[in-house]
Amino acid sequence: MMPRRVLLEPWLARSLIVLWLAALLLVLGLPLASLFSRALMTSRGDFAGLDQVREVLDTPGLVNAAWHSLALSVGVAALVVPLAFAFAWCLRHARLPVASLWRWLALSPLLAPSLMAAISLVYLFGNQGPFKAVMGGEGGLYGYPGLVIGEFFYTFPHALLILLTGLAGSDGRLYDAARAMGAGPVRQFLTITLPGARYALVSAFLVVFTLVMTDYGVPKVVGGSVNVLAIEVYKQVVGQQNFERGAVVGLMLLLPALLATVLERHMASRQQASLTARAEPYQCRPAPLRDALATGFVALLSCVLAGLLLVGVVASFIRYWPYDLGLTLAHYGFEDVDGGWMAFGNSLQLAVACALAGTAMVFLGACWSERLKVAGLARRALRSMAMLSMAVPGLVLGLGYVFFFNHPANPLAGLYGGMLLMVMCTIAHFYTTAHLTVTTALGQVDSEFEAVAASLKVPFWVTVRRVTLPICLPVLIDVARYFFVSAMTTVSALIFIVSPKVPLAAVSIIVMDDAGDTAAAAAMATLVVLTSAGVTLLLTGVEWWLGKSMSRWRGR
Amino acid sequence: MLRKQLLAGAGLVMACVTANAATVLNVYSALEADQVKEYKEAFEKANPDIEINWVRESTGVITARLLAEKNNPQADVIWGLAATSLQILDHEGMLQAYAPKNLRELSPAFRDKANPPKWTGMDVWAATVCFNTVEAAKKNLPRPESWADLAKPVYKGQIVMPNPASSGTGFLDVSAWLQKFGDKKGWEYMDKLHENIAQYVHSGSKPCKMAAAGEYPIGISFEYRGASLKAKGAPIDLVFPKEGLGWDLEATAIMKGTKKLEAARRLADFSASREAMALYDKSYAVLAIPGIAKANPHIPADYEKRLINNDFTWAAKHRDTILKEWSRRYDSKSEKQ
Amino acid sequence: MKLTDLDSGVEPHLEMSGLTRRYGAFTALANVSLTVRKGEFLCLLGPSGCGKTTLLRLIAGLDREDAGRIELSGRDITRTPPAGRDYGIVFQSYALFPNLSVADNIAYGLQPRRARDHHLRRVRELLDMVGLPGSEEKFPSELSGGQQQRVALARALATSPGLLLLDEPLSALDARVRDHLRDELKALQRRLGVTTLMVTHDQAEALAIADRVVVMKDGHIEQIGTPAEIYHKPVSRFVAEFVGEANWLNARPTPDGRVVVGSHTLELAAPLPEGEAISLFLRPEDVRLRKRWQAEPNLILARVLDSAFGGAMTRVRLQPEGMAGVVLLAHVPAGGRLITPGEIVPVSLPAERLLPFAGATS
Repeated sequence: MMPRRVLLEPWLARSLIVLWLAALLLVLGLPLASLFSRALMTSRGDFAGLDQVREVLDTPGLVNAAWHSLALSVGVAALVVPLAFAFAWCLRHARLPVASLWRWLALSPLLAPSLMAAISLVYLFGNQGPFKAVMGGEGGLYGYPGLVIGEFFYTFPHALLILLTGLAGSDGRLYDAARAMGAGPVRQFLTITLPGARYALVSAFLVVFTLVMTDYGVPKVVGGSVNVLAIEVYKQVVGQQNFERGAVVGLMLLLPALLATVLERHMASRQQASLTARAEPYQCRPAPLRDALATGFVALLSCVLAGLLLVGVVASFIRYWPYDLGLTLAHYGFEDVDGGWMAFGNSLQLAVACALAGTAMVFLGACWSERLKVAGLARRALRSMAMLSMAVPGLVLGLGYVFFFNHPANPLAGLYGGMLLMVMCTIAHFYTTAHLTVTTALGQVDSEFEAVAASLKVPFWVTVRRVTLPICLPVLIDVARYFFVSAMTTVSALIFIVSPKVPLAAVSIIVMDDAGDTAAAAAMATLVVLTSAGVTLLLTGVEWWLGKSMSRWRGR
Repeated sequence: MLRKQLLAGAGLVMACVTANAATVLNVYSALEADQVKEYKEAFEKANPDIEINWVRESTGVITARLLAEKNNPQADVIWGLAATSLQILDHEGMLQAYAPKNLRELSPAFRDKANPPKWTGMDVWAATVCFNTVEAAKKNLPRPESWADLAKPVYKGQIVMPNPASSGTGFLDVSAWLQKFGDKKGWEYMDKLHENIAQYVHSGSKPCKMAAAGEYPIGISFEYRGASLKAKGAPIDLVFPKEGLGWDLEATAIMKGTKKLEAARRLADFSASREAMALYDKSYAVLAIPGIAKANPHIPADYEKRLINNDFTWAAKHRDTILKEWSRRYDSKSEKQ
Repeated sequence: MKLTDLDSGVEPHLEMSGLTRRYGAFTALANVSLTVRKGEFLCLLGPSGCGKTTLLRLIAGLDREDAGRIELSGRDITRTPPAGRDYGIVFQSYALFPNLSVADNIAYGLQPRRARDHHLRRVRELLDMVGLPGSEEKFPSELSGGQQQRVALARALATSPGLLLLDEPLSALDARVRDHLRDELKALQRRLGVTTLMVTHDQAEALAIADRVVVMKDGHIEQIGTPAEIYHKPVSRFVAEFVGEANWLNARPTPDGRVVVGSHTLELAAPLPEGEAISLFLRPEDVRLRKRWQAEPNLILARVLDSAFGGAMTRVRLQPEGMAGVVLLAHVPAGGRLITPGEIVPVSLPAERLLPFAGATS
């Protein structure tokens, strides 16, 4: 009995690693590969080599679109990162009243689809908006101004999260030492704070860059005539039904994102080496002027961000903007709209499925790739696949899904258009961030647990269940929340594979906005925000309760 | 509302239980959400042994989807898709020729030229200018009556139209201008119009929607969207430029290789019937069977005469070249400003 | 010298032969062979990077050798996964499961899994054994470092393994706790008779606890021997320097088998190595201060530089006459006469304690 299990264990470990690798290849690698091959083919299915690519590069306007995308991404990142850094600094290094309120308000855009900000912008600054003069009058919003504000709203919380973490790592003892040596606040900032957050700054910049590069909701609503690459993919595929060219443009989108991710990871690996375990948290002293200024800045920015969200909510109650400003609940009926409440129900299902299945898959995958000591090559491949997803824009992934899962030779073609495929796509799309979160948590778990368990002849899966899982539980709740909110709000990955049989809330927002039902779109967006917020609160509650019940063994 | 949903859900369950003997047809369509309900009911009433399973999307998406599924078609019938799109599918050899029972009655312009035809028309949707009277009054803009009017300097920066590379409606307009004015004059016209365009947007309904919301006073769109927004209370007038309107057909076709050919044929028959035309008449002014459409107060009596002589084959053939030229001329708008 | 020598009649428990492990270009372990006797306490001693931990991990099956063979109780376990070997292990980090109580930690490997009563009895027994009775319900975070390591030890012993592997088990502890636990560990090992292999970089610890010490350097074994052998008869300059304190004197051989240091000629019991330059090794406690001058070999005069009180002995620094620049360290037992800095004392360098090594001392 025993010897057989002993031999079985390494074999099973190897199989699990390979199984997870195969799963990631299926949901990520193969769709991408088929996108690749499609880019090198003619529409007749013959091999075209690089002709297709050359032809796309010859298309007028495309190179312009690439430049616009690049300029916009860099511009937005250059705007968002300093402001988010200032915000994070205020939260960490100044004494603010109700600090966590400002934090939550500033992070609130995470709960909304990127389109919601765009809709709010049209209500505020569009040609019928009360503040259109701010944008330079007639049509001033459409184009770069709208794009920049919309993307700012969309990306700010992402940058803020990274920078808050980056500044949390600063060692209080360094500041004590600096003060003891007579360094003033400016010098402390330049010599301690800034170098300490260097990695987080670069990382935030690259993340914002990639998000803007691949976003499609904001340009569609307020982009005006500024052409960007994400829209170009849509044009090729939906406007002209030219998949091959769409695939080529998709690859153009993939390239900078891939580059940014590789760069970011490289930085991350260098950063890890310089982290010290025994840092003490920074305690800031009161400084009335600094605190007042910081409070003003933080409050202003939080209110702007949350306000934009609120405008979208209000928009959903207005009977007919701008000609009938009466309030109504009628838009929540979703009459004459595909899906309507069904779309909302489906999105809820999708989000719950992704939160459960995604968290389980990411956690176990990370356990296998980080904690098992067999099949080194497959483990490395598993890790690379887990990191790859971050570099793949949703639009590109979705397109790959169309090519791969709708191929008649694919035995899984039956999944096409179903909920399961959308769950797979969403998990694949958001895999990396979740994976990194779990890996960080696993990294803090003593590296010898598995060795101890093996010496006690306890199989690894028992240790995963009895030890690793309970230790990682709070982090897993974070991951589930991340999957839930992302699945609720994402558009880009699913726009090509969503089926009318299974409509989704976030995608129906785009459809409704297109068809002129802006208010209904805003209503649906409001539902999404409320749901995401509700679930976030719920899970935060669960986490708090868990923290309480775990506090005994965690030590204080 | 919730009650209605529950009822609908219950109805669906009932339908599933009772209809297990029925043939289920996968019908792809670009019809509007509110239209498909009625059409389905009417068809299933007439053919109780067949059930329709809708796959409904906007024109571009559903066409892209049909093409993507070319190697493994999921659809049995296409009911209500632009003839231009069907032309592309036909070009790929994806359509099954069939002459519906009522073919004789259809106007020859509104069916595929092949015999038996690959597709048959249902109704016509044409280019329409949505004109916001409230905003126009604020800005003192005269009501345009012709395409030529739209190119006048008074409308500078006031017009929104769909980007022909993103939207079938946009392509419809461009192709109509080129066919009506000729190649040279057509591009010259667009050069002038371009000066007045505030934005090229990415869907056919959006210009009218923007006009209805007063974002811009004039949106070049299509009539169904205009009429439905007007019905919702938007202060817009529908303008049908007198030189001629680009148009497209909503049409029906059978997918080659369908395993339910018999049922598919019956749907094609139904789509060409007078009974179905009565349904189409609720939304459209020009039907495939001439002379039976009721007058519509929003639409001028000579509407049908304003439709240009649209050559779908020409349009499909030159699409790539036209789009390339269009992009070359107008895509980099923002830099020129 | 044969490194795997055994006293006749003592059964080998663990035998390694030709073990090699490379990490890229770095050879962590080069062709190492070692035999551990049944019931003995063996220490693997060496500086970091010497391969001692690699060797332990190979034995535990946590790492895979590139070449070589491991036998446990006569059974080839080279390819056996860790769970198929028979050992308990304790790490420097304790590696206690933080979310499990002390009792659950100790019972983690007990079979069959459902027999709770049996587990409870065994846990109590083990806790008594490691001196922590009544701690069953506590969590690791509620214990001190020393207590946690006792729990880790109890857990490793719970399944009564034939072999106990200890990876720097005392290194994370405070000095006082460390010494105390060291003695207890030794006593416990004696009582249980479990074959034990401990990795440490602390030579004092190794000498104090082990039956035999294996000194390692750069992936190979330098010397195997009892603590006394290692201390008094280091086979290489490396071992001599690594273990304990030592004086080093540069010397020249004379044709009659003696050596010249400065202006003195000294006699040696050991044979001289080849070469023109040799250095002499002498432990500080072997530097003997005489009460008065008397005629005997290897007696020299030295000036006392300073002395420091060290409890049981006094540390004295001496500057021998006729040996320019040389400072000798002597450990003088307490209770002797008063030594004042500046005075000149006769010093004996015993011939049987002077060990010659090839090469000069820098």
